[in-house]
Amino acid sequence: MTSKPDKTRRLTLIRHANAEQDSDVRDFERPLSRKGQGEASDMARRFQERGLVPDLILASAALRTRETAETFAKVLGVATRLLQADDSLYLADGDHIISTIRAVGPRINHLMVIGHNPGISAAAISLAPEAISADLPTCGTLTMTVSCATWNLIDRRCVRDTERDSPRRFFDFGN
Amino acid sequence: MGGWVDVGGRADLESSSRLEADVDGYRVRVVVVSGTLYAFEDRCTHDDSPFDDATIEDCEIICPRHGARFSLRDGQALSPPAYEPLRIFEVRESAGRIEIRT
Repeated sequence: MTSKPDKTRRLTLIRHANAEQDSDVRDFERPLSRKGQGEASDMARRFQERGLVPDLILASAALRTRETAETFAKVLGVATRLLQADDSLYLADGDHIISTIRAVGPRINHLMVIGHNPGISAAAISLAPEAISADLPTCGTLTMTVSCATWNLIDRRCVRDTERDSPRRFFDFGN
Repeated sequence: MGGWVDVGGRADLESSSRLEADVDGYRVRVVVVSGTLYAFEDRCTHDDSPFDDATIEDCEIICPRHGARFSLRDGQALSPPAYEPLRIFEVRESAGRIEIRT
């Protein structure tokens, strides 16, 4: 059996934007704050300016991650059917996030995953320790160019280049 | 471009419970659920392989390998490990023939 050739793909990991801190609302239902809405719009526009448009967006099913994902989808012109909210990504740890990435089909070339700390940062640090060693800030992003035949082969050895960005202009990613 | 392609007769569909055809480079499967025709790419988006002996329940196709479910109405991936939607084709019956829009 011959193995498939490596293919250059792109993976973007994003922490949700700033959310309301209303203690009367269940954590799962916390919406983005006004500040968070601005963060998501600003970051999505930066992706648009760089031509970084995902083929599929996976988000935790919590409201704040879905709202962040919907903002990216709207600004980037991604069809709503290519935005998937997944219950299992809610507060998921880094290993689960990477397992989810490995389950994505081979036709997706640019995958965007929107999740929560500490899991989303743990996944980023696991895959690209040279690019990040601190937790992502709200709406912080890490985009990696990866070289792998299929997503189920992704690990840190596949990562070629990384681009990190944050609404906080001088955020220290720790590297 | 944008035309209808004949993929078989209604009788063929009735006798084998499905039709398969290559349309625009896609392997397309046609099934009937509760009297309605559905056409979709015969490929689970999770593992990139044909559905083969997948079961269909409540207008959802369930991949036999890992349990991914898709809506036949709009192609939505309904459960992990599938996330990418299924490609859906417009299908109609015309004079006893099944046609897919390209």
